[in-house]
Amino acid sequence: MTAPAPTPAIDPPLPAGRRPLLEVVDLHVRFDTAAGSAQAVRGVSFTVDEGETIGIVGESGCGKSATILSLPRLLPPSIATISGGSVRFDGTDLLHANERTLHSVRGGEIGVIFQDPLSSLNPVLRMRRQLTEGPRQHLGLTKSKAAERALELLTAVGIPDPQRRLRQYPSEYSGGMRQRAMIAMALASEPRLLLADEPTTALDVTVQAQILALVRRLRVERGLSVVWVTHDLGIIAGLADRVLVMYAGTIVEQADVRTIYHQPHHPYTQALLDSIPRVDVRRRSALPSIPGAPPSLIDPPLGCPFTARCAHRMERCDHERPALRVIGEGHTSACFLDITPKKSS
Amino acid sequence: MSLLQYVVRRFLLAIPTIIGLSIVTFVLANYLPGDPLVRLLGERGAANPKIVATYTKRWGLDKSGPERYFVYMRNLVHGDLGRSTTTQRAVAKDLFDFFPATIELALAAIVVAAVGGVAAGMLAARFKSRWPDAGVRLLALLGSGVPVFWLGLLALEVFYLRLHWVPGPEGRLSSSTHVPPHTTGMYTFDALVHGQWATLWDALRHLILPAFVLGAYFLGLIARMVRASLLEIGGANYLVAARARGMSERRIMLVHALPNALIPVITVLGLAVGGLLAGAVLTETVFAWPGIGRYAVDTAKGLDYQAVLGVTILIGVIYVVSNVIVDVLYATLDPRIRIGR
Amino acid sequence: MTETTSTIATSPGHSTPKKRPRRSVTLTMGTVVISGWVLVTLTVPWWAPFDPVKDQDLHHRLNGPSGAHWFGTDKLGRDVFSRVMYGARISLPLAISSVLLAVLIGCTIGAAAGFFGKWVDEALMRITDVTLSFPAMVLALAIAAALGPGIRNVVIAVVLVTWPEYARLMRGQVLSIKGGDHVKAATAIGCRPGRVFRRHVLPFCSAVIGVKATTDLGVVILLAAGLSFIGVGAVPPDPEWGALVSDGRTSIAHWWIATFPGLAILTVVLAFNFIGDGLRDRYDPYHRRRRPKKWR
Repeated sequence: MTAPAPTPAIDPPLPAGRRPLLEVVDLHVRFDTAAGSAQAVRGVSFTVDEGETIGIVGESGCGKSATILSLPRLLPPSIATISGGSVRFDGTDLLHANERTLHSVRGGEIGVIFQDPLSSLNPVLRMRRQLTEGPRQHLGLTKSKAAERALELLTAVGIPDPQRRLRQYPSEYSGGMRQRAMIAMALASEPRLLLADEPTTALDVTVQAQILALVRRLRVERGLSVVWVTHDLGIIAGLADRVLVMYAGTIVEQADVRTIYHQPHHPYTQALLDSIPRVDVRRRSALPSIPGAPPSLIDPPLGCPFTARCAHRMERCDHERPALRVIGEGHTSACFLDITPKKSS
Repeated sequence: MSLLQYVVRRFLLAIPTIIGLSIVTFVLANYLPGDPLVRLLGERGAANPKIVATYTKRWGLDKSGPERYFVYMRNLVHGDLGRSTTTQRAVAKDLFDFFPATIELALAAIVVAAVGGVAAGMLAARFKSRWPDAGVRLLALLGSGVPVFWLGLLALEVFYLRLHWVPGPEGRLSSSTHVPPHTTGMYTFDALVHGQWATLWDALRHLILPAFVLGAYFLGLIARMVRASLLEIGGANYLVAARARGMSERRIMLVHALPNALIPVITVLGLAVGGLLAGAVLTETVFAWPGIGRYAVDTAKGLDYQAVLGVTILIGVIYVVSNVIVDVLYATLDPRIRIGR
Repeated sequence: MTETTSTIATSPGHSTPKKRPRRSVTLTMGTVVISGWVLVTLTVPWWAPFDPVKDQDLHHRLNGPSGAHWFGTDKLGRDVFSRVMYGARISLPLAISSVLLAVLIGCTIGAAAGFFGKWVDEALMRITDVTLSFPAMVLALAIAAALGPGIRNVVIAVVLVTWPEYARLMRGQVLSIKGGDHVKAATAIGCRPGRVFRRHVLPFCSAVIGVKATTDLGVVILLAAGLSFIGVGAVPPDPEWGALVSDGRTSIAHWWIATFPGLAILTVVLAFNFIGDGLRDRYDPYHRRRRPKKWR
């Protein structure tokens, strides 16, 4: 996969004193499975400002999807428990909000795009029904007004012949079109925050690029805040203002997008970057991969979770878990290594 | 292929089955041990040479097997199902008179089974592993093994003899109630159309218990299926997506989950048509319900063969046709089934 | 590693480890109940308090359950308990012989159709199509009515309406197994068709057929009882369960007459269902995988 060149300069520079739209503090999520209780998210904190785009990166099972899906409490209560922390959205405490508040925040204030568009669309309902139910509830539109709006939305996300498309069922859409429709659905009620859970993973590269361009455009047009979860650093480079790197349920590094790419501090971030194929560097050897596997979250290790796979492992890493500490302006990292970040090769 | 073409094709495919059905009844009428003439005419009729001669000619009994079949078919197509030795009337006429009662009972039972089954299934899925779930599953389990005629007697014992909630096994109306004007032959419907509220009430009171007894088995079956498919669908991503759009749990259940859960139930309803007609034979006997089931039983006991075969053919045709209808329904309801593609 | 989204998709109710023990509990229950009835069938003449037919006591007609008559007496003063117990001697052998005959006939014809194909197969499929398009009860009623009442005729009627299902099942099994490598190998090393069938095809079908036959025992008991109930099955003084329930029809106020034979039918049918389900879970690997998928 070719990474788009890092061009984070789409947005104007951040105006001073922007207030955070979303504040997540010390979030813990536990999954109760047959094999035991897994600590999927272990103390994650971050904020999202208005108009800001946050990228959350990490490999499968690092807790990134669990993190964002737990914000509007979308994880199934039968298996997932939010066991600690707080989530404040525009002053509202979402973890203790009642059903009513939750129903108006979901869809109305926070839109969500899911990983697999086909299974996330109801197969037996026409697209019109699925696109209009949000605006009818959140914006109080009539049936016909909502249908007009659905038409506009499909046009806005670049679906041709929307009139006909509204009458169709999800199975009649192509993969890329389904994801566009999902985006239209997520934006239907003018939310202020968009949560995207690996929305382009299932799509081929061209469609992926189109979807990314679409989100970039809508973000500027509508002043949206976005939290975009992916395992693909290449996508993040062209999209995010700030990047969180997650590993084994914790944030291991956090910085603005330039810093992450040019001065990564945490060995895990460095390893991730090394495993991206690059067109600008000639490489004779095989693409390096990170040896080993992430630790079990059912019985997480005492020390640094990355220690078993780390190239810079030290004695203390085994029994002491490094806390996130500030190592530069807006740059935090959970590693004991010297302040001076090692330049990645 | 358009839907219409599909419907036509599906009906054409049913024709061989219906022809086969006529062969089976033909064989039953002519080739089982015993004198077919005696079966057709009864002992008294068979002793009268004049009647025998007429019948031999009419049903081609002096001809070879295949020719006889064609005569039989020709009579069938002309609606001549022979004559009942019990009622001394044309079987076709008898069926025409008795059929509406069975249709009324079967329709009521389908409504009971579908509404009750879906409600019970939803209840069980909603309270999975708690007492409503256990109760529904226990009832569904019992329903799968309970003899319908026995259930009918028990129901009468409890709701008629002990509680006096419903009238006894006296048919479709109390003896004091007049039969409503004939529109469809279904008394509840006819009474409704003609605004005879007292008659409607009386007809409903007579209908409710047999309908429940007849529908009980399918009620249990549907409850089990709805429960299972709701639980299967329970974690579906599109439900999470609907939740993410701010939909209430109630709406998610009714608008998003239920239609998906009901698709397999359609197939069961197809089976139910056959099962209900078969069950009607027993239920009608218990409740003295004057439909084709009881007609079949009464005539069968008198070895009134033409009448029994007439019922068999009628039920067979309905069964085949209802299966076709279910297939078509299935194709229209589930958008994922791309017809003919 | 499980990705969170896929964790969401799997509902927790489907974690399999819990399922097995519960199933085998019902299997055990079913087996116990059926064993009990088989024991009754074999030994009832030695311990039944009364003769089911001859012991009429017109002074004690329609008596409710008591110490002397546990299930009460019927309108001829016969002991309902003895009649229900003796009824097992009719219903169980009837069901078992009907199902065995249906299995024998159905499987032979089905295997022939699957093995030889061509017109044999065509003919069979048409016949089964037709038979399966009648509700069994109605067809059985027509046949039983034509043959006249009597247990033997009930067996014939039941066999005639049930064999096609076995034929169809067997044909499908044979067709799917015929293409298997082990069958091709056996044919290649020169096994004669008879041997190939006996040694390499039949063992693979037995599980599926056995499971269906077990469940059908219950279905057949219901069917036969239904026929007797409407009066085209067992002939009066015979204490067939369906006929016993029918006795209670004329006097619903005397609830014991119909209730106890009905309970006998219910327990047997449920027990056979339990055993059938249990056997299916244990021996029929195809069915387990064939659990309803999300979409069909």
